[in-house]
Amino acid sequence: MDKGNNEISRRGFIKLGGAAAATLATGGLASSVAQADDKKAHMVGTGAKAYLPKAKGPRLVIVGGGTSGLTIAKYAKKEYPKFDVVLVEKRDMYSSCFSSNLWYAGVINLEFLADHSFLDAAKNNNYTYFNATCTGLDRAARKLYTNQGEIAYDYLVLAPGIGYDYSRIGVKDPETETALRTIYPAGFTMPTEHSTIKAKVQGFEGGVFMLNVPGGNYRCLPAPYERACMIAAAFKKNKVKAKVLVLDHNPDITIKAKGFHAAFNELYKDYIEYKPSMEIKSVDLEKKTIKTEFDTITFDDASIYPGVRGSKLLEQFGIMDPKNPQKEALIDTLKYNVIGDDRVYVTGDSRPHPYSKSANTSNTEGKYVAKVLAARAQGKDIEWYSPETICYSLVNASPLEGISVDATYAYDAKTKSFSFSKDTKMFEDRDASKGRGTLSWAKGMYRDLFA
Amino acid sequence: MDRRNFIKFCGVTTALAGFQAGYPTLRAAELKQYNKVKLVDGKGQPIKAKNLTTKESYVFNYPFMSTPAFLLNLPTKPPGGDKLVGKDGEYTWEGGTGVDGTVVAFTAICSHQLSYPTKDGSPISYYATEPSEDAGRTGVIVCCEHDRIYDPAQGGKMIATNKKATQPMAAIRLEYDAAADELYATGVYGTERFNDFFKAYKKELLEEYGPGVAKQEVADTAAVLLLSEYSATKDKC
Ligand SMILES: Cc1cc2nc3c(=O)[nH]c(=O)nc-3n(C[C@H](O)[C@H](O)[C@H](O)COP(=O)(O)OP(=O)(O)OC[C@H]3O[C@@H](n4cnc5c(N)ncnc54)[C@H](O)[C@@H]3O)c2cc1C
Ligand code: FES
Repeated sequence: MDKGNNEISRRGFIKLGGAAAATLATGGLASSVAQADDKKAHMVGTGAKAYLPKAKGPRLVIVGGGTSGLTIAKYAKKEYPKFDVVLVEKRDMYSSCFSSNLWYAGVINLEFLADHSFLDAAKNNNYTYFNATCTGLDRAARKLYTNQGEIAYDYLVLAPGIGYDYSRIGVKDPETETALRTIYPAGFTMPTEHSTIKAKVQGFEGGVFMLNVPGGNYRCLPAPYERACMIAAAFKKNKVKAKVLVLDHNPDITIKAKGFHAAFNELYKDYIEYKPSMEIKSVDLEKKTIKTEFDTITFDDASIYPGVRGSKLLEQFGIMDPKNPQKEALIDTLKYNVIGDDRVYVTGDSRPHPYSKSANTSNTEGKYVAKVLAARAQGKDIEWYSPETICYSLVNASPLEGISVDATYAYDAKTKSFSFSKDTKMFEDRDASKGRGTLSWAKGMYRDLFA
Repeated sequence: MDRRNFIKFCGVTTALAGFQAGYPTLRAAELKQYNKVKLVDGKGQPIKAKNLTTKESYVFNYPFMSTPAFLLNLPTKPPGGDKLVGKDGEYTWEGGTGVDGTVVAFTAICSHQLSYPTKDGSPISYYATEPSEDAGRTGVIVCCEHDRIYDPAQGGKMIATNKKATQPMAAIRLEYDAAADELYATGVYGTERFNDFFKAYKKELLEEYGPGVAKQEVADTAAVLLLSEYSATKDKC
C-alpha cells in the first residue's frame, strides 16, 4: 500500500495526500489502517504541538484542575494579567473530593459536588482549560508533554494531588492492590470511588462496615472520622443493624478529637466502634479480614484507605524528594519552586509541608503561590505568609451539626520547619451553626474556584 | 455601576451642610454615590435614629436590591478619622452619625470571600451583647465562614490575627437629618465588591430575585430590619 495515500472510509474510498494523512494518523481510524503494515510503536501526543492558541504573554501552564490548580489558574491571571494561563486537567467532569462524605448520608446530592464546569471557570477567569493528561516533562527545554501534544511553558505548576501507597498497609502485589482499588476503594481521590462507596452504604444490609485511618500525613485529617459519622447516620436512618468499625493507625483521633469522640459516643453509640492504634499490616480479600500486629479483624464491607503519597508524576519527573517518606515534592518550602529551577512549582497535596492536606489549605496556598509567580514574572519576590486550614466536619446529618478547626502555620527559620501557629483554634462543641457552616464553606469554595 | 460618577469627598462636604457628617475633615477616599434613600421601618415609616437599639444589628438592602448592609447603633461614639487601606488606596473613615454620633453602617458582604446574610441565614453578624468566640469580645462583626473579625468602631477594619489580612468592610455613607432624627444612605466608600458579588452569586440571586432585579439600585426608601427578622438563623463563632 502506498503510505502517502491511505485509503479510508467504508463507502467510497477517499484518497488522502501526505499532510492530511499525517494528521489523521495520530488517532482514530487512520492509525489502525496505518498500523496494518507498520508495527512501530506509536505514541499519542508525542512529536506534535498541542493545538492551542499562540501564547499572548508568558505562558503559565498548570497541571491539575483540583483545588490547588483551579485557584492558581484564576488568581495568577488576576495578579498578573499578562500571563497566558493554560490549565491541563485530565478529567472532563469536575466533582469534588471535599464534601463527598455528606453524600453518603444524603445531606447533599451529586449535583452539589459535580455541577461545576471547568469551561465556566476558564471563561470567567480568562484562562484556557485544556482537557489532557500530562505524560512527561522536559525541564531543560521547558516543555510539558500531554496525550494531546506538547506545550512549551515559561512557568509550570504541578498540582496533581495525591496518590495511594498500598505498600504501607502491607499490600505489595499488583493483584491485591488492583482488587482493593476496585472492591474497597478508599474514596480519597477519584469521584468514581465516591459513587462506589455511596452505593455500598445505601445498600448495606447489616454487619460490619470497616473504615480505617492511615498513619502519616494523609489527605484531610478529619475526613475519615466525618465519614464514619455520615455512614453511621445513613445506617441509623435506614434502620439497619450495622456497625461502622473505625480502625485508627494513630493512638487517638488525629484532629478535633473531643468533638468526634462526643459525636461517636452521643450520637452513634450503637453504630460506631472506634479502635485506636490499629495499624493494618495485611489484607486478606478472600476471607475479608485485615491483620494488625495483634488482631485479625473480619468485615462484611469496607472502604480501605491506604497510605498517602505525592502523585506518581513527581517521581516520574525526577522531582520527588527521595528522603520524604510520603514521596512528596523536592521544593523550596517557602517559594514552592523545584530546588534549582525557578520555572517549575509544585503545590497542593503533593507539597512536602506538614500542612493538613485540605482544600482550604490548597486554596489559600494557591493564592499565595499565584502572587509568587506574578512577582517572579516581573523580576520581584514577595514575603511568605501562611495558608489557612479552615475545616468543617459534619458530625450529625439530622439535624445538621458540625465542628471545625481554624489553623494557620508558623515558620521557624532556624530549623526550617513549620508548626501550627498559636492562633490555631478548635471548635469542638457541635452545633447547627457549624452544620450550616460546613455547607456554606463548600459553596464558598466552589464559588471561589469556578465563578 | 461603571456609569456612576465618582465624587471626591472633599467635593461633597459643602453639600452636606446642615447634616451632621460625623467626621468633617479629610480625605483621599472616593465616595461612590448611589441613590439617596431614606431609611424606613418595615411599615415604611422613617426610622428615628434615637430609637435604634444598641443590643442588636439591623440590616437594610443598599445600594442594590440584593446587597445587604448593616446599620449599627454602637454603645459609644467611635472617634472616627481612622486611616484605612482599601484596594484603591488609603481612605479615612468618617465615624458615626445620629444624635450621639453612634450610628454607623457598613456593607454586610464580607470583604474576604463575600459571605452575606440571606433569608435563610447569616454567617456574618454583629456581636452586640454576647461575645464572639473568635474575637473573645463584643462589639465586633465576625464572619464565621473563615473567621474574619471586623471592628465597626474602627471603620470596619479587620482585626489583625495570624490570617492574611482582608480589606475593611466598605462603609455606607449616612446622612443625618437632625431636625427630624431621620437617616439617609447616600453612597459607599472604601472597597466595595458588588461586581464580584453579582458574579459569584449569579445563580442564587437569579433564584431569589428573578431576572434583572438583583442589580437594580434601591430608590427612595430602604426598609431596615433587625438581623433576626432579616435572616432565619444566625451563625455564631
Ligand atoms: C472524602 C474527602 C473529604 C474531604 N474533606 C475536606 C474538607 O472537609 N475540607 C477541606 O478543606 N478539604 C477536604 N478534603 C481535601 C481536599 O479535597 C484536598 O485536600 C484538595 O482538593 C487538594 O487539592 P489538590 O489540588 O492538591 O488535589 P486535587 O483536588 O485532588 O486535584 C488534583 C487534580 O490533578 C488532576 N491530575 C492528576 N494527574 C494529572 C495528570 N497527569 N494530568 C492532568 N491532570 C492530572 C486530577 O484529575 C485532579 O483534578 C477532603 C478530601 C476527601 C477525599
Ligand atoms: S467570607 Fe467572610 S471570612 Fe471568608
